Amino acid sequence: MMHRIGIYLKDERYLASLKDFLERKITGAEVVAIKSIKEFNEQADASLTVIIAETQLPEGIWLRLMPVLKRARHIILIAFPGGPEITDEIAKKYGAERLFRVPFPSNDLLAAIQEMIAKDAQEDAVQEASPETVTDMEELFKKLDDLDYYTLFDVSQNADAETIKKHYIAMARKYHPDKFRAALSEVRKMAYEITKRVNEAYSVLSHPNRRKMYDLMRRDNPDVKRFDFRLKMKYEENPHDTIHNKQARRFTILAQKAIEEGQLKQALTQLKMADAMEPGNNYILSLIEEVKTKIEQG
Amino acid sequence: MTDYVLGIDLGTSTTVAAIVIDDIPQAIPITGEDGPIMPSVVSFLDGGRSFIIGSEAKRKLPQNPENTVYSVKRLVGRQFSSADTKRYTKMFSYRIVEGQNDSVEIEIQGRRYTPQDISTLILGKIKAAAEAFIGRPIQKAVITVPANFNDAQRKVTQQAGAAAGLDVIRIINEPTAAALAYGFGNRFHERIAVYDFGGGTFDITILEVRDNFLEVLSTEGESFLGGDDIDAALFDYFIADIETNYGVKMEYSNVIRSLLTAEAERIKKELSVVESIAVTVKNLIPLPDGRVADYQVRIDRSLFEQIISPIVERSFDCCRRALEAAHLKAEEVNAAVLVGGTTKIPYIQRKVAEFFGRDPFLGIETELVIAMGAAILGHSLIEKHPKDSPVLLDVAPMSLGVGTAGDFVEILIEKNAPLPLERTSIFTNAADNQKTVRIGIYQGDKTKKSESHLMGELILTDLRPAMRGELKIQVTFEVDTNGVLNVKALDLETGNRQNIELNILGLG
Repeated sequence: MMHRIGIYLKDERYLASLKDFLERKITGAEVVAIKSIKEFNEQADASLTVIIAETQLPEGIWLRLMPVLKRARHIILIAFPGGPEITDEIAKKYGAERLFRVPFPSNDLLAAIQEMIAKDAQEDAVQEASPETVTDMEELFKKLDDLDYYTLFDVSQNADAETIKKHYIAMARKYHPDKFRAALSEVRKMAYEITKRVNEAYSVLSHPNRRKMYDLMRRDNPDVKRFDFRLKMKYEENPHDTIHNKQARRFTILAQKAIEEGQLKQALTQLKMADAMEPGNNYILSLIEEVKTKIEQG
Repeated sequence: MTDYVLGIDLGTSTTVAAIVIDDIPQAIPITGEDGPIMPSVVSFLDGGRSFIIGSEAKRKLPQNPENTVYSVKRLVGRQFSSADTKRYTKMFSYRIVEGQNDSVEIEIQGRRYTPQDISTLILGKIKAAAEAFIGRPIQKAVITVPANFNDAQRKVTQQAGAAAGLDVIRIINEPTAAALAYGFGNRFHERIAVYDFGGGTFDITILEVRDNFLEVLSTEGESFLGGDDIDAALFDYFIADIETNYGVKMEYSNVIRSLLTAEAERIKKELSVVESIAVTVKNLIPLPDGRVADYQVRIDRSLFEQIISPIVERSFDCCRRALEAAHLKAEEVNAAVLVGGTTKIPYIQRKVAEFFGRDPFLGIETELVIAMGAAILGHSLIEKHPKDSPVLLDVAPMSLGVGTAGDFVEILIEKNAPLPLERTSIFTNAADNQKTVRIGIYQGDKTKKSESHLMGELILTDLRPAMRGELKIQVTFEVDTNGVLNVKALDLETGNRQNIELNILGLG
């Protein structure tokens, strides 16, 4: 894959040597030298993989430059001695992923760029993994009701929140109905239905309590593919609200306190009391499971 | 031939439209206005037989208060019986009456108009101006609404557009549009605060943008905090100043009020440019000896800032609440975007910079930002190669639930869930051979009916005869990409479609 790297530096000799260095080291990279703000405006666009810019800019230029900078995928800042005091924190606020202070080893800069490129390749892979053509979409649409949320997102059951969000965004971008405005109405409808399901899956998997409930539901019955949202949205804010029996609620609260204090056996007894008073309450059952697992793990 | 989409910021006090031509968003100059900003005011003349719109109408307000409709956005999609409507009924100079289905209507010279009728007139003028500007007809439009607009308010906005001959291809949230105008939403992970200080309302919205995925983290606002309050504060200062320096306690009529308020507005605008301004209002003050004196006053920036600082401070109370709701600290916000005419005041810009610890974005005229963003979205929606264009994902504006037995509300759609979405619920009949079932729809996050806001009703009609509890009707609630609710129902036993009506209160 072709990478375009833009460099904006006032020092022309430094610019030339850096350009030469990067061109030699990164295969398939086109390095663009930018010498003025005007050129900056023309050259910096979304096709730039990385943009390297110096921080020694006249006051006020920064603000004008920021939207332009941000067209590139990644930003690296270079601070020169005598320039404005820039901390990593400030650099981050400008959207820069890395800040280098002159002098610095060129290889560090190279490594940073290579890391960014590798990360992009990974991200693109995530996006390309999902079907693209209408035929693929038809297939997905047909089996939509047979897919659980994890399979839909193509992630494992224990995927972390970050991975889930990444896959979700890739799916949502791919199938958003807006992309198919010009398509046939059946295609549009499919995109719409898929997006709704993708959003539904994300609403569950991105929500710790709901995800726990969903996993629990699926463990009891693997045929369950979709979350039952009637199973108490209340659960999210204050799970106790799903317990209607006053005594059961009191025991559950006591049990949670015991869990916090590490008194697991005591907690289990209290939860069993709660369960007896309000049999079949999913929240109480999930806590019992949780405590049992903890006891097993010692 | 390329198609154009109008981006319209249909505001409480002003309306602005923009269009993307050759990839550049441009604000549309409005006929009869001094630029692209048109007051959202309609004044009816000749006993209601004709009307004028915009600045011309706004100027008529003092002479024609009963027949001049302003701030209609505050009434759009409201229920007549709501506390807000009662407040507006007292406050507004035109007559507000009850329409069908608890909706709000405006009575002018014996004729009744819905708030959307007024919006339609405004949109019609905008459409005509845009067509004059580009020299050909325009049908498509994207209209913006506040992030906290509910279902009824969004539906009404769509209807108003349709009545004005516009195909409203999307309703989007104002802060989202503002973020789009500044090109956010391209691959970067950022949190943006959109600080929108308009003529009558203040809104702060914290957005998170990541890979074109745009999430409203929180939104707060005050529906009575805007440039008008600044004018009013200056007006109060004038009255107090006259008492101190001329020894006259002013008894003021509507005419004097509007005269001094207009003067206040002028001073406010001037002071964004100059450091100090001297004002003379001729023949204003009736002295005890029968003579009438001119009122002379000099106001400099520091005095002005002193006068307005309590008002500005209220906006930051909202900001603090919004940050709290988003679980963020001010310094965790990466960018602040200024929207609305009132943010032109240098003092406010300074305060925003202080609060968020960074200079706010200012590149685009603050009154035009939202319309520009709407135009950009509209343009991207009709592009020939939509596959390459960014996609913006918006979220549900508010939670919705259905009333269940007792005092409970079962929340079905949670606020901030990504759109489009659907949720299903199953309902049954409570009596043998019941013909219809009515289900209340509630808005908000409260799980008790008595604490929530009844938004409308769902009516299952022509139910097939069955014993109590025997019917299982699955109702699907869908919120589309505009944030608008649609419903359909299915008889699970027979697999037949079940008749269902969605009756949103406030929609006449």
